[in-house]
Amino acid sequence: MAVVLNVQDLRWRRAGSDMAFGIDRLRLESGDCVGLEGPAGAGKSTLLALLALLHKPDALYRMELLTHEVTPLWRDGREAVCRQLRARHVGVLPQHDDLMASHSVRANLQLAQRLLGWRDDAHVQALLEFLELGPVQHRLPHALSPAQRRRAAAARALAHRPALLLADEPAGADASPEEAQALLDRLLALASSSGTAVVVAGRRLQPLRQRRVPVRGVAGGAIGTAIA
Amino acid sequence: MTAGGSSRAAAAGPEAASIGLALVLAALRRLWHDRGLTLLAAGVPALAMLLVAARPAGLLALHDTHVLEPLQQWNAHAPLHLLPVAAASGVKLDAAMVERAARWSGVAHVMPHLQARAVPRAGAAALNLWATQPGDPLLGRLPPPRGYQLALGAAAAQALGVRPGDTLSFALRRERGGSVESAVLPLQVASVAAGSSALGSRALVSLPLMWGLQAWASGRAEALPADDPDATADTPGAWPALRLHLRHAWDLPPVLDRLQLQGLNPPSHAALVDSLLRLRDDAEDAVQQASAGVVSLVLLAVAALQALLLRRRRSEHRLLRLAGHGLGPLLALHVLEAIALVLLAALLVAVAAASGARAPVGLAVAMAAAVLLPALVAAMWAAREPVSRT
Repeated sequence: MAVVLNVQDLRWRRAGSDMAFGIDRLRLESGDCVGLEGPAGAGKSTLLALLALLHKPDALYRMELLTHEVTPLWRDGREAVCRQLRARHVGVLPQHDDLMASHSVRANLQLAQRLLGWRDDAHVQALLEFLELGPVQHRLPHALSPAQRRRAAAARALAHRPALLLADEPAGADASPEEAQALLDRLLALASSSGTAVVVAGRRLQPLRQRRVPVRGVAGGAIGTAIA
Repeated sequence: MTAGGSSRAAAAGPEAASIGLALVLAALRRLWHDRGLTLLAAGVPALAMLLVAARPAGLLALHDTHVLEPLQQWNAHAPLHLLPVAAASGVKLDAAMVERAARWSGVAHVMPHLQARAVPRAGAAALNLWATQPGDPLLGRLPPPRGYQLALGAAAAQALGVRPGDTLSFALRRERGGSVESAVLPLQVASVAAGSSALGSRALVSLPLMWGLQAWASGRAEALPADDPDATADTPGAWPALRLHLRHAWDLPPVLDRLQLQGLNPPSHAALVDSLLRLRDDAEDAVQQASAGVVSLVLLAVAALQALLLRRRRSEHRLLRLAGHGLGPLLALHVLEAIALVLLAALLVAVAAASGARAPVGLAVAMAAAVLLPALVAAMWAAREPVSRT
């Protein structure tokens, strides 16, 4: 299996804050999935942002995304290249601001592809159908239910066929266990079929554990040991 | 090859065109989504442009001197910038007054104004003789006539059929002591003005000769001036009238104010022109103030609308940047939206222009800049905002 993400000894401290964030070791191969579980404020979202190459680490021993060495990019200040790597190979599903409010569901997915210079309407259609968004594909985000909106956001994050999906509370913080279960099932199925590695962050990741996905605890901005 | 190199290479050709098309579509979707604000953002500058351009017809006519031009033509024999002023009771038009008037703003030249009408030959029309002296703007490039010489306007020379060197004999008459006396005044044509000269149908003679002729006509002098009137004529303490040459007809109002302060009455045509010019100035001031107000309001409104649009789109900008799209796409989106707004505003103005409204091009360009520049600033601002909330 191809290595999608390999991180060793990443450290970052937010300016004006005492909280330090760190990842000792994280290695994901194609189709792998890992959960990051912790309470609100534990630093899950920030750790995802570090994996999404949004923040320049204060210290980094090694970081590889597919075949690209990220460490020298950060060291040489080539942030534009980091941004391009994110655009092409990483799908980000944030907690907020997850869809273009002015675009319909379908247009959101198409834009994610077209801004990279290509289009695959069959893939868009497949995502819409698999996530049961077909009937609402022409609706604007504000006209969707919360669950539909999160499914649409997940589809947008996967529309450009990323190698790595970083999902922050994919079902939404207020989703019922059934809704969370349903969305995670679909996400994992999509990731598995496309070979996308997935990192899921959330407060309660019981559905992942039930599927025997490794879940690691997050506390104080650091990824700890696996949570059984 | 690095990821950056490969992406740049890949972005060439059809891929770049596809990205461009995606940005155009995204810009249009965003504008349509905020169509109320879009219409407002395009409509406000368009409306302002039309308001500023739509001056009331009367003011516009004055502004473009559509009123003044016929007046000038009607008054061709006394151009607006030439102002004869007659003495009034208690006001002496002496050398001091001439010197004072010459310093007034807008006055190009001041000299005594003496004139007479005389018939050069039997059957000919009477010629209007004006006194002149060196520096008289009416002379133009002609040498000042001396002694028994005159300078003729082109129209007068053509009517009389004379050339420089010819002599015209004027028959003069005066009543004195109950009897009529006559005399013949031979004047040599020293020069003829060009057709475009302000001299027109007038003839100019030297000031001493004219003063001597008027002295003979009034009976103050026994005989006509001597052969060399320039050397022998006496100079009066005060003149019956002065001739003021203004630098431009627009200088009339302040000069009239000066004359009235001195207790002098301007000719009636000058008062009429003065009224028109003052009305024009007042109208211009009002229009300029209103225009400045409208333009300021428009700039404020455009800036406020851009700020509002930017605020509504912050989450979209954050998502685009989170997805790895940098300043380029953001800038392109904003510029494309601004261009669409300008085109929409231009369309609105064109529709109004087709209905007869006035749409100045210069103002339109300024308004386009007023829409485009805030868009660029907004894009730069959006690109500086933090991407993630973490």
